Amino acid sequence: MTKLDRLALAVAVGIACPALLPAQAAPAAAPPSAQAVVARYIDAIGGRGAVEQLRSRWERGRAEVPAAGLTLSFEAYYASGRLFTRSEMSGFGVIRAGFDGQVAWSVNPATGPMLRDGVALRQVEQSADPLAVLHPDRYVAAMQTMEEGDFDGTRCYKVRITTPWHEDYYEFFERETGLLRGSIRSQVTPEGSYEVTSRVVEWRTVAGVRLPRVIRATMAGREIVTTVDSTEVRAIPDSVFALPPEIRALRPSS
Amino acid sequence: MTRTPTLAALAGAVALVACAHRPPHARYDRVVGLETFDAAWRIVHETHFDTTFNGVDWVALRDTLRPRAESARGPEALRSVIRAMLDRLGQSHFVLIPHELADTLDPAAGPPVRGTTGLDVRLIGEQLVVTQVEPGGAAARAGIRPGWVVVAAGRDSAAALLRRLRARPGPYRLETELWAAGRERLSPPLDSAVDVAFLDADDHPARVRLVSEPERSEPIKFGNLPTFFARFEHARLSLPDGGCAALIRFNGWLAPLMGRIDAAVDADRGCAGMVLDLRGNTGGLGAMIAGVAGHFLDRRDTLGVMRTRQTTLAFVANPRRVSPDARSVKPFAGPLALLIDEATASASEAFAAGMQTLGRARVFGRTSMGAALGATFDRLPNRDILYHAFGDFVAYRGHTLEGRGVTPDDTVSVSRADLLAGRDPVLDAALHWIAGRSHGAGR
Repeated sequence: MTKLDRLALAVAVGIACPALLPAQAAPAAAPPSAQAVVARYIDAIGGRGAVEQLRSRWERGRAEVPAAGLTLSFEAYYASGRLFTRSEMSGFGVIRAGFDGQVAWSVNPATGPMLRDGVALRQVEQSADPLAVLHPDRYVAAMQTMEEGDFDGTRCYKVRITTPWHEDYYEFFERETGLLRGSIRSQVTPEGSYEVTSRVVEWRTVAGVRLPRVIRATMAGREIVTTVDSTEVRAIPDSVFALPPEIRALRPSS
Repeated sequence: MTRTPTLAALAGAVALVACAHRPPHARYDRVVGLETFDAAWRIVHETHFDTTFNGVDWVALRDTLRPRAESARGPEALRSVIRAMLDRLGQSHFVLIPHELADTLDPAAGPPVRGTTGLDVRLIGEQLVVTQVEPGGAAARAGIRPGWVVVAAGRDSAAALLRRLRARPGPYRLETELWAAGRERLSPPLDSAVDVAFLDADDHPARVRLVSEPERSEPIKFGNLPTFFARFEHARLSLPDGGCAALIRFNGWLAPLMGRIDAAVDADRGCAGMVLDLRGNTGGLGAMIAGVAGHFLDRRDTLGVMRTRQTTLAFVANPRRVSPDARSVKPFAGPLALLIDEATASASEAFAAGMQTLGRARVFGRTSMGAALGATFDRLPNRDILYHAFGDFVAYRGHTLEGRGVTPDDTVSVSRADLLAGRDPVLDAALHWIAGRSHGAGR
């Protein structure tokens, strides 16, 4: 059952707020530059201005593993690069995870309180940042359009992203719409890395910004469907993002 | 090789439910039946960690068995074909779970009720002996005590069962096979009875009709798996020098139990040593071993790895440097004893092997089941559940546990006389070791 643990963990920190990064805009014949593809993507989701306005939100939804009969309900709070998620699954318990701008953490009933570091920390930081799509230099050291091809049955530009922490992953942008169709990325967990293929299958519009509503992710041969059921744009109190006592006690300064 | 569904289910966290179902009466759909066979074959084909399928020609096996699946005239006939296919792998954690079993006893649908007679048994010598009697349970009220010998359960004599298992060896050792078969026969569905012939403490024959009563342990339903009934015990035991040792016992690695494990460790941090009793613990969530190991390791030590087809994953201890009430603490550094036996399986074996090879724990008892694969589960087209292995656990020193188990540092057996006298020599040996460590070498 170990795979399930990791699914829950992944959902808690990664899939509920997928790190579907920058994207671009596109001409047609020769593959456009990655910068152009990303610029077009930003336009397609509502434009830089709209994205910059959407600084905080509260989401509720669920992640399901249909074949295994598992459903994890979650709520996620985003504000100015900070993140807090609370997920719950029957037979497992409550998983909390967060990022307060510096510290990435999780409290999982199976493993106990844990701090994230290294690549895992950077991935959480990136997924917490609603502006990640606009500031690629913070998360993107280089990007290159690799080819035009089919991804999930749609013509896409495949863009390789290299992060400042030397991680490579791929994003696929629809040739027709400019929207992000999906990504292939290794998700770092305490046990190791999993390659996750994510596909955006439905979009929603929140305060003028298009965000994924339904994502189908495949990880180790297992499909996880994440659905955001509701979103509220609202100010989130700082207290939501405060490190919980058990995480504060783990920090070296404590 | 043959393997009963019961035993294989026990080898994972699926556990202890196998005989409680009745075949469905719904009309059988042969098209769906064949789709089910194909799906089960395909899932194993795509996810088995070993692309040689443990030496089985998986494609040829499909070609051989598919006509039988196609001609199956009912769900049980289909299941027997799929089970025959899975059994050919000769490995643990490949189980077909009937949907009527997986989908009942759901705590979300009301209080789940599973039957139990409150007995556990083991093979001792040539006899099936009662090793545990649940206080207040049906067996206890009938006067049955540990050390009594089960001569027959229903129409099955223990001697005949033993002969059959010897004649048709399964993938596990005889003592494991008999434990599983014995428990199955002594655990009829709720409100049904089983007539059991015993030899009492004085070797006098005793015949008892045991009626299965509602299970009193905690029901935990995880996805499509059958409901697991979790048990947890914690006691503070006295050592000869006046000190104490914590005894923590749980029957499955289930996340909802973690809070109680955390609290027990925290409550007894001041004791000289701790004992984790994993006898009869058949496994569960593998990630939990990282959390429990972290109570006893102050570094991110690797207990072992899980080799899957795509990747290798590590079981890395998460040092537990914070108490349940958010105090900074150090992981427990005193002596740690682990108790295992032939009914210790899966995540329990991974934990024991990891802690043993790291030199952090001393293991007492008898060799474990040797059923240590990472597994997951999928709903099939006919709604049955395929529980299937996707990873092979490899312990710290590079050896696999599947088929061989964990060998104790101190092999300690329990005799019938011990049970009749109320002794637990395995626990006694562990406590003696802890007492010696706290006196002598220290921590």
